Amino acid sequence: MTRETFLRLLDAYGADVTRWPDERQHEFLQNSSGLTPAVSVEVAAARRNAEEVDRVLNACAPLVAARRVDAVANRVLQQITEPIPFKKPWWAKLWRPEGAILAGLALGGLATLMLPPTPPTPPSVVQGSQGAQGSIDSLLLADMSPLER
Amino acid sequence: MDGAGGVEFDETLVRRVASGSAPAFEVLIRRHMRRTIALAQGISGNAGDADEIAQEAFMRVWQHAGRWDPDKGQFTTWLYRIVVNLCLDRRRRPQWLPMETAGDVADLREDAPAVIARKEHQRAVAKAMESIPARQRAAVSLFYFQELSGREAAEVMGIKPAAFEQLLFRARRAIKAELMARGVISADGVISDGVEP
Repeated sequence: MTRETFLRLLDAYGADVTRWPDERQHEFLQNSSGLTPAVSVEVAAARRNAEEVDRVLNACAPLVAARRVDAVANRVLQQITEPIPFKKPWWAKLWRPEGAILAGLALGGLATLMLPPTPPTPPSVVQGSQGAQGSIDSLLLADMSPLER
Repeated sequence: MDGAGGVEFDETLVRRVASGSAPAFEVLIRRHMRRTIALAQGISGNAGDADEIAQEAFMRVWQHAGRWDPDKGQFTTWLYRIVVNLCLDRRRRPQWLPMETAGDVADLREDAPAVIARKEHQRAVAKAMESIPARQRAAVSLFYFQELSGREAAEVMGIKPAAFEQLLFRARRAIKAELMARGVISADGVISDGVEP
C-alpha cells in the first residue's frame, strides 16, 4: 500500500483499520512496513490526527432520549389504528340539492339537443290569406261544416 | 418465534406487517425507532425534522411492507434507505444543532472543562455538518453515527462503495478543517480538551 493510499483511507474511514473495507484491510496488513508510526513522522501525525477526528465524531453522534422514542412510536401507532375516513364516491354529491339541480340542468340540456327540429310552417297557409287575422279565421272556418259557419 | 428467547427476526415481523399485523409492527417500531430518529437527525440536523421523518418512514413501512424483498437486503437497509431519501427530499437548508439544544440530556457527572470542551467539539462538528451537502451528511451519519460498514452504507445510499468512499472522504475533510480552524485539533493531531496544563 502506498503512503498516499494510506493517508487517503485515513481521511475517509478513520484510524481504526478494522472499519476499512475488507480488501483495504487485507492490503494494509500485507504491506504496511513503511506505514508504521515508528518509520514515518508524517504517518504518525496523520494517524494521531485521524484518531482525534474519530473521537470527536463519536462524541457527536446524535443521542435520542427514551421519552422521545416513545413519543414518535406512539404517534405512528396511533396513526395506523385510526379508522381511515370514509371517502364519499363522486356520485354521492349529486344527492345534495345543488347536485340535483346540476344533474337536472344537464339532463334538460341533453334532452333539448336530442329533440327533432321543429318543421317549418307550410307557406301555403300564410300565402292564401290577407294578413295574420285572415289566416287564423280561414283556419278556424276550414274545420266547420257549412251550417256552423 | 425465530431466535433465542422467542425473539422474532425482522424478516418474520415484516411479513406479518405486510398482512396487516399491528402488534408485529409495534415490535418493529420499538426495536428500530431510536436508530431511525438518530439517523434522520444526523442528516437533517435537528430534532423536529428528525421526528417527522422517522414517523413518515415507519408509515411507509406499514403501507409498503409487502414490497420489501428479503433477498435484496436486510430490513434495516430498506428502512434506512427510506429515511435517507426522505431527508434528501427535504430541500430545506439544514440547521444542524448540537445535542443539548436538540433536547438531550448532558452527563451531569462530567466536570466543567470537559463539558465546555465537548460543547466546543459539538459546535465545530455542527458547523461543518451544516456546510456540507446532504449526501455527505448522510455518509457521515451512516458510517460514523450508525456505525455501518462502508459497504452497508453504500447499499443504503444506492451507490457503489467507491462513490461512498469519495463522499466520506470529502465530508471528513470538511469536518477536520472546521475542527482545525476552531483549534479543537491541531495539524499534528493534538486535541484540545479544555483543561489548562
